[in-house]
Amino acid sequence: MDFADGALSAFRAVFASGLVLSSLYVMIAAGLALVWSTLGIFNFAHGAIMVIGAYVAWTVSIDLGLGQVAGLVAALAASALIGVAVNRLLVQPFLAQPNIILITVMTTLSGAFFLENSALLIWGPRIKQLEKIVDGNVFLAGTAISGHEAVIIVVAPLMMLALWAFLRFSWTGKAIRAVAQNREFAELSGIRPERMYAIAFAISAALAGFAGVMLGAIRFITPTLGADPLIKAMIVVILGGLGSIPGTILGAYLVGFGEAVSTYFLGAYWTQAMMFFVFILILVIRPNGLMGRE
Amino acid sequence: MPEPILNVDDLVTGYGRQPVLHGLSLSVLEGEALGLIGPNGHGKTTLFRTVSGLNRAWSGQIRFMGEDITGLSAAQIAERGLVHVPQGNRLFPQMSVEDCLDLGAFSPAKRDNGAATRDRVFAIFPRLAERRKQRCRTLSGGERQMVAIGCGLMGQPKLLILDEPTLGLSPRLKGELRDAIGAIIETGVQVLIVEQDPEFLRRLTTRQVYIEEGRVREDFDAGSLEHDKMMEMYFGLR
Ligand SMILES: Nc1ncnc2c1ncn2[C@@H]1O[C@H](COP(=O)(O)OP(=O)(O)O)[C@@H](O)[C@H]1O
Ligand SMILES: [Mg+2]
Repeated sequence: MDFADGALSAFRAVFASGLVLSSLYVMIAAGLALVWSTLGIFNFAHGAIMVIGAYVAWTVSIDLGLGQVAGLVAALAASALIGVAVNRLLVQPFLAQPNIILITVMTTLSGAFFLENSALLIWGPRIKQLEKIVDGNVFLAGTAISGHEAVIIVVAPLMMLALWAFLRFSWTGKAIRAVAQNREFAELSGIRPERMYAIAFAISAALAGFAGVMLGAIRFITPTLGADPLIKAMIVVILGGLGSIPGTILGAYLVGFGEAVSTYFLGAYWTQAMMFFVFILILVIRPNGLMGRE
Repeated sequence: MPEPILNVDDLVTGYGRQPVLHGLSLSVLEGEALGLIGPNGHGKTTLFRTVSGLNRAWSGQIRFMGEDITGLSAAQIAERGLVHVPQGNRLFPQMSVEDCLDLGAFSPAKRDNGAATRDRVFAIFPRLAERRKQRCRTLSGGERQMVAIGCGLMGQPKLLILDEPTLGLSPRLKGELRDAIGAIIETGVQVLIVEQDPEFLRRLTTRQVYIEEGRVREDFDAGSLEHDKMMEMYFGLR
C-alpha cells in the first residue's frame, strides 16, 4: 500500500515535470534542427538568442510596462533579427568552405559569447524573471502545475504542427526544403538560396526567442540561462537523427522525460552524467540517431 | 539579321585557376534548335553552367534576348526564361514528383500558370502523372530525366538548355525522350542541347556546333554534306 502510493506520487511528479521539460526542449531543438537540415551547421548561438528573447520581453513587458503581448512580439522580432544577423555575419561568409561545420562551430560559439556578454552589459548581473502568461494552477495526472506550464505543454506540439505544415505545404517552406536537398537545382528553379537561409534562420531564432519567454517565467533569467538548454537541445537533435521533425519531437520527449526520471531518482547531480551516458550508448547502437536515415 | 536569342561572346571561365573555356563564342538564332557535340571533358557542361549563372564568367559576355545577363544569379536568369536542365540531375530526392515539378514554377510570375503547365508536362510524359506522389529518390534514371525536363518546362522557358538528357539511358528510352523533346520544340520552345550522339542531334536540331578544348571548332548545318565531316571529327573516322 505504501509502496503503491509512493510509486504513484513518483509517477505523477515525474510525468508533470517531464512533460514541461520535453515541451521546452521541443521548442528549442526544433529551431536547431531546422537550421541543421537547411544549412548543415549547428548554431551554438541558439541558446544565447533564446536568452536575449527573454531579456527583451522583460524590458518591454515589465521595465517599460507595455504588457505581455508586446513583450512577446518584441522578443520574437528581436530574436529573429539576431538570427538573421548571425546567419549573415557568422555563417554565410563561410558557406563555400569545405570545413564549414567546424568553422561555424567556432564562429557561432563566439557569437554566443558576444551575445551573453552584451546581455550582461545591457541588463546587468541582477537576475530577472518574467510574469507567467496565465495565473493559477492546473491539475495534471494528480499533480498541480502552474497554468503557465500547462500553456507550454499545449503550445509546443501545436508549434511543431505549424512548423511541419509550413515546411510541407507553403511555397516558402517547400523552397527551404528544396535548397536543403539540392541547392543548385533549387537555384535553377528560380529559388534564391540566400533568402531561404535567412528565412530558416529567422524562424529558428524566433522559436528560440519564444522558448526564452516561456522559460523566463519559470526560471531566473541570467546571461547564461541558454547554455544548459542548448546542450540538451543538441542531444535531442542528434538523437532524433539530425533534422527530421518527428525525430526531433521523439528526441525531445525522450530527453525531457529521461531528465525528469533521473532527477527524481538520482538527483540533479547525477542526471547530467546519466544523460550523456545514455546518449552515447544510443549512438553506439544507432549511429544515425533514433529516426535517422543512412 | 535578327538579334540572336542567346549570344555568348568570347567567354572565358574555369575552375580554380584552371581555365576550361578559352574565349568561346556562340549564338542561338531566333527559331533555331542548336545542338552541341564534342568529346567529354571539353567544357560543354561548364558552358551551360556559366550561361545559367551557376558558374561565374571570368571574362566575355552572355546576352539573352538582348539583355546582358553576365553575372546575374541563377535564379534571376531562370526567371527571365532561360532554363537549364542540368546533366545527371538528382532532383529534390525527398520530394514527390508533383512538388518537384511545382517548384520548377517557383517565381511568383510563373506560379499562376503552374497548374496548366503541369498538365502539359503530364501530357508529354504520361508516366509522370502515374508517379506524381512518388519520391524523386526512388525514380529510375529515365523517369528522373523526365522530371528534370518537366521541371525545366515548368519554368516556362523561352530557351531550354538540356545537358545530355539521355546520358546512360537504354536505346528505347532514348528514343522516347527524343520524341518528347521533339514535341517540346514543336510547341515553340527553343532548345540548346548537348548530346554525345550525332544522329540524335541531327534529328532534333537545325544546326550543330562542335566544341573542343573550350572553343567552338566547327559549325554545321544539318542535312548538309558537312554532316559527314562532323561524324569524321567526332569519331575520328575517314
Ligand atoms: N567542379 C569542378 N571542379 C574542377 N574542375 C572541373 C569541375 N567540373 C568540371 N571540371 C573540369 O572542367 C573540364 C570541362 O568539364 P565539363 O564542362 O564537365 O566537360 P563536358 O561537359 O564537355 O564533358 C574538365 O577538364 C573537368 O575535369
Ligand atoms: Mg558534360
